[in-house]
Amino acid sequence: MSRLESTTDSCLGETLHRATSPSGVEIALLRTPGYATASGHFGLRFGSTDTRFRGIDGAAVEVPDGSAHFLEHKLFEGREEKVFDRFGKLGADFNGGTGFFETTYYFVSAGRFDECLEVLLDFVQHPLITQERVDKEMGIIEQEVRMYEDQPGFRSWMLLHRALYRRHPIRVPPGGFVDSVRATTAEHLQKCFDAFYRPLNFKLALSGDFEPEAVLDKVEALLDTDRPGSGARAPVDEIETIAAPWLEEEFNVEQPRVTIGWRDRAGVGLGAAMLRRQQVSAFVMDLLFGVSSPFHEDLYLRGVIDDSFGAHYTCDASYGYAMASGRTDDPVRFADEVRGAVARFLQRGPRQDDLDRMVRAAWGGAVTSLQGPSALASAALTASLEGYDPFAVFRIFQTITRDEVAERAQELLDPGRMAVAVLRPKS
Amino acid sequence: MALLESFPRPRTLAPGVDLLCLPERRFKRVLLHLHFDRPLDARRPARSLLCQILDHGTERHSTRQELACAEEDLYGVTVAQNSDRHAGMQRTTLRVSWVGEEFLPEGARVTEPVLELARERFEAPLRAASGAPFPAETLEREREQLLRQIRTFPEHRSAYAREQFLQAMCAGEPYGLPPWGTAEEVVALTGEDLEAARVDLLDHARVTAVAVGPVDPERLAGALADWLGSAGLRGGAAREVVPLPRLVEPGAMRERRETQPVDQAKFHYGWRAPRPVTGPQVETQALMNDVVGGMHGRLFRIVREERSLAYGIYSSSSTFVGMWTVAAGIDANSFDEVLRTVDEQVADVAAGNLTDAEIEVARVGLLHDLDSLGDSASRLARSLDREHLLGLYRSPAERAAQLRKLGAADVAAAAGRLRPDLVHLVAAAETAAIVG
Repeated sequence: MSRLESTTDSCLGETLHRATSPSGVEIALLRTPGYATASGHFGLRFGSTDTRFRGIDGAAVEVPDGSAHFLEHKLFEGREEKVFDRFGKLGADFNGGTGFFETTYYFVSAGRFDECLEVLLDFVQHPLITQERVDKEMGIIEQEVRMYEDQPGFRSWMLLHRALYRRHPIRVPPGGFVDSVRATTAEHLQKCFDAFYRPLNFKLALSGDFEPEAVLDKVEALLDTDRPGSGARAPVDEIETIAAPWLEEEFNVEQPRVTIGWRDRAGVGLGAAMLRRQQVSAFVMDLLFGVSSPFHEDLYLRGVIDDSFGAHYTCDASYGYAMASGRTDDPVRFADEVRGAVARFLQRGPRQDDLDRMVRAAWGGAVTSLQGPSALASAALTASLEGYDPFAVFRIFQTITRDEVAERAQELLDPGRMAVAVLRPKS
Repeated sequence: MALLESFPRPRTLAPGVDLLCLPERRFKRVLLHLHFDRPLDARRPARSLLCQILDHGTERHSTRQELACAEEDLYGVTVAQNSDRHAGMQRTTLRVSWVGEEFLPEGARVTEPVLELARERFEAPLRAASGAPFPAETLEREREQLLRQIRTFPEHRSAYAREQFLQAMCAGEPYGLPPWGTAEEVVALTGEDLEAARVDLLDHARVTAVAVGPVDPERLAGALADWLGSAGLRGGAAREVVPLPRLVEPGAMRERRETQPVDQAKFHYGWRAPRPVTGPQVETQALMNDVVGGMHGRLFRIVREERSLAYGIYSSSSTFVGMWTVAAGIDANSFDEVLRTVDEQVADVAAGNLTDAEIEVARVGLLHDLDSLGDSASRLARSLDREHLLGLYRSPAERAAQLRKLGAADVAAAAGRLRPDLVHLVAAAETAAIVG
C-alpha cells in the first residue's frame, strides 16, 4: 500500500501527494511533467518573533532580536564546505528567507535534483555554529539590516506595526537591529537551532518531473530519525487596543508617506479558517481600494492619492491587519479622506457584480501563481506551514458570498482600531 | 526538451514588425510583450508621460476604473505600458498577459478581447471634448505625478544611485540621459507633444512582439497583423531601426562622490567593454562576468565572504552599450578597500590567474540558466528578444555548446579588454567626507 496520500485539484488538475516521515516531517510532492527543473522547499515555523521560548529541556530562553535571521545565514556556512560552494558546483539556484513566524530554504535545479536535495536536507539539519563563524558574519548581516532600515517603505511598515501593537514582536524588523545583531552569540543561535530545528517542526515540499514514491524513499533516507520533541514559543502577550492612533517619525524622504492600518480582531489560528479570512479580507480591500473601485477613482481624480497608493491585508495566527498607504503632501487630509471612503463603503456595502468580477480576476491570479515547479513547491510549503491545502483557494472563490464580504468589512474596518503612521521628511 | 533545441522562426508581419511566438502548453498564462524601439532622443519625456496618460481611458472605456473593470472581467488580464532604456534605445513596452483559455471555464475566449484592450490603449486613447489630444485635467494630473516621481526618486536608494552613476559615466551620450526626462522637460510638455510621440511610436518604431505560453500562434499573428501588419491599421508605417550606440574609449579613470542622506553607501564602478558580435563573444563576456562578479564569483567571495564588507556585490554586462558594471551596498569607510579589490581582481583574471574550478562553477551556473530557461515564460521571452536584437537566433542548446568550448584564455582576454571609466559613490555627508 502506498505511503502517499494523493489528491487531485479539480480546477488545475495538479495532484498533491503527501506523506509524513517516521520522525514527523510533513512531506508534499507535486509532479510537474515536461518541466526541466525540479525544486525543493524546506522550512519550519520558527521566525524572527521567536526570541523568547522554552528549550527542549523546558528551560526559558531569551535571544537577541534577529536571531532567527542570523541563524538562517549561519546555516549557509555548512559544516565542512560552504553551502554556496556546494550548490554552486551543481549550478543550482538557492536561497533562504526569514519571516516573522517562518524560516524557509529552497533550491531550483535542472538535472541535479538528487544531489541538491541531499545538500538542502543536510545543511538545514546539520549546521556547525561556532563563535568565530558568528563573528565573521556580523558585518554582512549588519549591511543587510542597514539596507532595509534605509528603505522608506520598510520604515513606514515597521512604524505602522508599532502604532498598531503595543507588545507584539512584529514591532521588531525580521533582521533585528544593528545592535541586536552585534549582541548575538553562537550560544544564542545554537539554542534556537536545538529548540526548533527538529523533525516535528520541519515541512518539505518538492516539485519536479519525478516519481513521487521513489523521491519519498530518497527523502526518508536523508531525514534525521532522532531528535524528537520541540521547543515551545512564548505566547504573544498583546493588549487588545492599538498602541497609538497617530504615530510619526522623521526620516530621509522627500515627501511624507502615510500608512493606515486597521488592526483585526484576534486571530482565527492557522489552517483553513485563516486562509479564508485572508482571502475574504483581500476582497474587502480590493473592493474598497482596488483600481476598479469607485472609491479609488474618486480619491485619485481629486488628487488625494496617486500611483504610490496601495492596500492589502495580512495575517498570521496571532495578528492581522488591513493596510492602505501612499505618499502625500498632506497626511491629515489623506487620512481623513481614506477614513471617509471607508465609511461610505461600509454604508453602501459591496455589490454582487463587483465581487463576481473580483473573484474572476483573483481566480486568474491564483492560476498564475501556481505555475512551474518552484512556485508549486513554494505554495505547497507555505500551505503546509500554515495548515491548509495549497489549492483550497479555488474552493473559497467558488463559495464566497457578498454577505460574508460585507460582514468581514464591518468587522475589519473598525474606526476604533485604526492607526496612522506617518514618515515625515526630516526638518 | 525540444524547445531548448530550436529557435522559433520570426514572422515578419510588416517591414520592421516581427513576431516571435513560442506556444507552450505547460504554462498557464500567456505573456505578450510588444516592444516599440526609438532612440534615446528629445521625445523621451513625452513617451514616459504618454505611458502614464494611456492608463486613464480610451474611447470605449472612458476612465481608468472602466479599464480596470474590463481587465478583471477577463479573468485578471494585465495590460500595462512603460518606457525605459534598453540596449541603448528607448524602449516602450506594452505588456499583456492572460490566463490560457484551457484553464478558464468551458467556452471562455479571452485572447481577442485582451488584444483589443491592449490595442485600444495605443490607438484610441481618450480624447478631450475640446478636440485637444488629451483631456487637460488628465494631462496636468499625470504631469504632476511624473514630477513627483522625479522629485522623490532619491528615496529609491539603489535605483537612484544607479541612475546617477549612469548619467555621470555616460554624460554627453544618449545613454546618459534620464529616460523620463528632467523636471524642466516634463513641465514644458504639451498635449501635442504627447500625441506626436504616440504617432511616432506607432508609425516609426521598430516593433518586436514576443509571446510565450498557451496561445494559438495563428490567432495571435492574425490579431497583431490586423493592427501592425502590412495590410493592417498601421500598414503604411515607415519603421526605422535604431542604430546601436557609439562605443566610447574612456580617458583617465574618474571618481565621483555624491552626498545623500543614506545609511548604507552605494558603490558603482563602470568599465567600458567591446561590444560582442558573435555568439562565442557574447558567451565569453557572460562567463567572464560570472567568474568576476557572479553569485559564486571572485568579488562575492572576497568582498562578502572573506572580508564581510558588503551584503552583496555583483557585476553585470550591458552587452549592447559596451559597459560592464560592479555594484554593491557598502559601509562608506570600506570604499577604498572595495575599489582596490575590484581593480586587483579584474587585473588578476586578465593576467590569466584563474583556476579550472572557478571557471567551471561559473560555467555550470550559466549552463543551468540555459537548461532551466524553458521553465519560465518571462525568461524565455527575454531570451528570444535578446537573440533577435543580437541577430543571432541561437537556441539555448547552441548557446550551451558555445559556452562549453570556452576556457581560461578566453575569460582572461575578455577581462583584459575592460577599461575602467568611472567609480561612483553615494554616501551620507559625514562618511563621504571621510572617504573624500
